[in-house]
Amino acid sequence: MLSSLGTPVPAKQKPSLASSIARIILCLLIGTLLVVFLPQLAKADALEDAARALARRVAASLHGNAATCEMRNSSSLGGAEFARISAAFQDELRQRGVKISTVETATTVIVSVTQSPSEYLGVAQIQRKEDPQTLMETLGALKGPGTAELAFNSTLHREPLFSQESPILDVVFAGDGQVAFALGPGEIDSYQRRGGSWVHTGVETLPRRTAPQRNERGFLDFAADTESVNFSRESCLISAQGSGWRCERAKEEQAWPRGVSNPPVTGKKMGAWSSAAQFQADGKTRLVVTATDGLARLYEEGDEPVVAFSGWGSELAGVHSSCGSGGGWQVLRTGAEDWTKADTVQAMEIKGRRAVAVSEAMEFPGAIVTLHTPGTRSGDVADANAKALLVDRNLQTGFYDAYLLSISCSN
Amino acid sequence: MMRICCRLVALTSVLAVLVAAARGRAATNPRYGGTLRVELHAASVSLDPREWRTGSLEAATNEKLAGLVFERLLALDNYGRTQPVLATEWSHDGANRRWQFTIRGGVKFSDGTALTVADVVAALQPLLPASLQISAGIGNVVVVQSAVAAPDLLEEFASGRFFVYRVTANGEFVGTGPFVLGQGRSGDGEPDNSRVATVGNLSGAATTNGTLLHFRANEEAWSGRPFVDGIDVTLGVPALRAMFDLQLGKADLIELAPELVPRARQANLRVWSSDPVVLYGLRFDDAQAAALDAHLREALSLALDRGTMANVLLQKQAEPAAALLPQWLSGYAFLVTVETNLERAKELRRSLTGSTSAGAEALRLRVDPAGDLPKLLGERVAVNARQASIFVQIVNRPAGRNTGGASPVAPEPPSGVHLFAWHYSSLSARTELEAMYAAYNLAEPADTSGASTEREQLYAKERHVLEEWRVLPLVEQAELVGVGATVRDWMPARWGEWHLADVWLATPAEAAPTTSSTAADVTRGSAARAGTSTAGAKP
Repeated sequence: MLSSLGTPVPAKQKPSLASSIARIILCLLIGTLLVVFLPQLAKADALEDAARALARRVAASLHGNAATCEMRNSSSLGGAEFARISAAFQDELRQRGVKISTVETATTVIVSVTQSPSEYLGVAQIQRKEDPQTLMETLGALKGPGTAELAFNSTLHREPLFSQESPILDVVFAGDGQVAFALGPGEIDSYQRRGGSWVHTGVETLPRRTAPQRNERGFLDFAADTESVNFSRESCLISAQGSGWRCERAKEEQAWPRGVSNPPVTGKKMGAWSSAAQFQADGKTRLVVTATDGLARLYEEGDEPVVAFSGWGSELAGVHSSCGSGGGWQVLRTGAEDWTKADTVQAMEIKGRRAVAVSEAMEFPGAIVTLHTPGTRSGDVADANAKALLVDRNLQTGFYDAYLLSISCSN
Repeated sequence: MMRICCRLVALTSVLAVLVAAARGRAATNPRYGGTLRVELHAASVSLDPREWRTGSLEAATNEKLAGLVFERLLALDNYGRTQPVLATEWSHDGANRRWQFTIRGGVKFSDGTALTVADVVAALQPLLPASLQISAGIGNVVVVQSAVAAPDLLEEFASGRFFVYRVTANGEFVGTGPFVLGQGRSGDGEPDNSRVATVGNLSGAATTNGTLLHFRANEEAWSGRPFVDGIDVTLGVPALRAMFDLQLGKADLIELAPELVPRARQANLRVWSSDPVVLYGLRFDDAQAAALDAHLREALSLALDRGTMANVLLQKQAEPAAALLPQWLSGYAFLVTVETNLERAKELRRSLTGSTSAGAEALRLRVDPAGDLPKLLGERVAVNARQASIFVQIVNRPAGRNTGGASPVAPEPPSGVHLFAWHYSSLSARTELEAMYAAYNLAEPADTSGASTEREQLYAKERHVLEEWRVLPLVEQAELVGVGATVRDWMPARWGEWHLADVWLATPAEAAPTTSSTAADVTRGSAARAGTSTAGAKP
């Protein structure tokens, strides 16, 4: 049996965490071999190859005659990818002895790149007086429209991490920030930074007892000899002595986000909440909590909220940047749209009891589904607090994109 | 006096802030709870996939509701990616003939029984075409063997009727989907045990107008509990009433008739439209001798004003169609064009002598689908044909024959042309075209040897029918849905598959239009412009 080469490959691989290191070493070795001996593989592009295959068929039909060539993009391919396909097609035609003319000739080749629900299609119409012909070639699996370029703000910065098909609930960094573990609703994906980009190195399944919630939240924590995962209604644990992950229904309904500690939360009067950020300002520990009623509430020492902010989205994260006043803390907040729309993040500062925007809103290509302090295996809280983990569901690709956000001081 | 004014201003400000705080906008994080109210035109539904007539408008409604209760092995997302559903892995041999699917473990039907490989085989075998055989493999694997290469089997299995279900001992159908069909109710909302709607008896079209089907959230769904607690589906709701219900907040999702779209937009209702999913067309039938003449068929095609049909009759909610499959499905529909040329149509008509049946006899047009729109399209076809001196006689759909009366019903004269509506259901262009060929008894082209890729063969097949004018596509229409103001995360597939498990409901206060110029909105707007958030009092 052969695995299909397009999307229809086995959906998941589930190696154990213990075998991850061996896999990483193996992958590194294979990677090195590939880089040293087969550099051309890195350049291989299935779309271009298919475009060349179509060009060969067109060339065979033209029998060496000159033709004018017109390329049309009726697909979701981005301009750059389409340009590569066009170049590959025309290059192959030339290599096959077809002269591509810029003045009118007896033969015109119109190549349209279109798409079906799952594939890109190249359609070549050979227009000539006798024997006009239409040739079609599947170019490859659909990739979705190209991601739009996004505007960056001078004070709010983002570092793209990785994208994956399944949701990302949390990311914990290890190994001096060179290894990352991404928690999903039922698995932990591992990544390693190589040559400036993150490479997927494995995935480990969690033996969950309950079905994940559709808007599942969860946090992955590392201790000296244990690792634990806290979902909304379930906790999973693995210890150095144990045989593997064990999951159990949680006693408490919801775990607080990373960076929010129990003392300031205990006793506070709050209903169902979505997200929270804890920070120091004006010498006080403060807490902002977004609730399911659409309001964000600020708590100080007392049990009651001291102020409510409207127009905030449901996701929050506190970031310590040393900029601004009031202890150098900012609160990142999302926009107030549902998951069908692209969302924004904006840095706010709590001055007294007012929330003041201190950065431009930064746009993301999808709904922001996760925003909180990232985890570190080293336990370096200061380092973690200087950043925020953001995950969006990219509306153009359908992938979950993870980013690290940070704030730099502008003049 | 000054002091009173100041107090009034202060009081107004505090009130405005309080209102603003109370009317905070919807958060991005979905919320659980509530009942989604859906209104459909269809008077009856069947959730038994074996009974569905491929391509029919009724089958499309059935598929929508079945998708709440049942699941397929796979799904195709809006990005063209195959996503695992009840199958977690799949592979095939080099010839694309033998496929293996690994069935997800730990999945339970809504009656608590576990999903097994045998269930999958039993459910899918009756739905598969003769060229496909399904059997249990080793372990948790099912094997599908195809007589011919089936490179698009994944697209086929990710759409249409290929649901996995189980029939219980008492004849009820159970699924693994995010909802479970509960008790039926009469139109006034009272439980109606005489019309208890279970999947089993729904399959017999036992429902009538005004019947309320209640789907409750499947708490044990492996894919996660849906956000809403339940869905109430009212059947047989007239188009205009459905729109009023949406406007008045009595419904959350309605099927919107194309002629009502401008009114809905004027009323600021949310309107969603899919890619074109319904093809209206004419197909010729050899039953009437007049339809045998290719010149007459060509003349009729040239006389048709498809632009007027799309823009006037369907209020610009459709597009003139030239191909059998839409562009989004085939990728090549743009290659096919049709023209309106009345002069050429008249010329062709004149060439038909009165001695032939095509020249002498009126062409009988039968409008197959029910409803006003197909009837209007049929009348427009007759008007266009008359302009080219082609006489088309519209034959009404046969009413209920068993009237019990004594007078015998006269046999219906054969119709040479049928106006049909075809609802695309498969995401595989090949499967869809084959289904259309089978349903309408279309002749295969004698030779497709010039076509070397599968897509070229499909194109050749389609062209064969179109160039002989056996089928004349008229317009392709999108599915239109009116979406209530409180509905959030409405993310259907662009080919019309609803994903109601992901939908959640905001409160009416959150859903109020943001453009209203209440004090609260004005206050918040000013604050936003100033770069600050509204600082409210204690909530």
